[in-house]
Amino acid sequence: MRLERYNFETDKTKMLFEFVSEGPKGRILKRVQYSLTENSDWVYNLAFGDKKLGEDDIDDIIITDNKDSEKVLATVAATVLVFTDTYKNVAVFAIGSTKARTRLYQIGIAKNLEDLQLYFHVFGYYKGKWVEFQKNVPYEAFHVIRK
Amino acid sequence: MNEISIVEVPTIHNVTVNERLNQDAQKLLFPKKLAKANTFLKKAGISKDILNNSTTSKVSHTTDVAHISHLIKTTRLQRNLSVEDLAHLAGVEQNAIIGLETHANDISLQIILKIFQALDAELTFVVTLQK
Repeated sequence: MRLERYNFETDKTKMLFEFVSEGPKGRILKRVQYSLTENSDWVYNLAFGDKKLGEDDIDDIIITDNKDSEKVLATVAATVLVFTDTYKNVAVFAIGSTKARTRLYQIGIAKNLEDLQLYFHVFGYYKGKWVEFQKNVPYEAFHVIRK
Repeated sequence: MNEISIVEVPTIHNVTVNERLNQDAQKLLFPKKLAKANTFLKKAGISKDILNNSTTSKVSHTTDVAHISHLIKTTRLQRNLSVEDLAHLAGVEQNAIIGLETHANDISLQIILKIFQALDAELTFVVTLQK
């Protein structure tokens, strides 16, 4: 990925990633976690959010706008690379916690589609089926498969 | 066939492993998001055909506990076995299976071999000397 991104750290299983967003609202700890979805042994959900200091749980809905959304999304994309380097033959699924956030993912993927397609097959869910991702289509959810 | 390679392959990113994250990695940090994903995938399941019709869990990367754990769980699910079933077949305690699948640190090779034998899965180790 050629985009600017934050450095990040991971755990030994490479299923949890952590990085610090820096912007007008200060330094915000962010975490990305991959979890197997229900009744599946190969589809992992990608979720990320802010970690509140002193608490175990991550804020599941609110993600602080630190004016660095592109850099944050590029960092999340880089964690997908590391995750799929580790876990082969898996799909990584992503859906926003709100429609607006799904739209933000859509914009982020569209902006970086050429880079993403170097490494992944990218799919979006539209009108009841999974199709190859194309720009300017309002998808409900996404998944990627490593090439 | 499940293949575990211990060949060090080049990675795109050098990522620091932070021991502090190990414990949190075992917790579900985004329960609502996972629930939403599960609900969505019930109506929009992803066909496994997309993986070139491959149903094997082939892992070729640096062996560590996480990868072995992943292989065991994946293979068990492919065999439609519960933890209890596998423990019974392998002649080990259920806690041994649970521990392995949740990335416990101490894994006896003998137990791993028993488990894969019970799963009727061939285990191949590939050793390549680095130049």
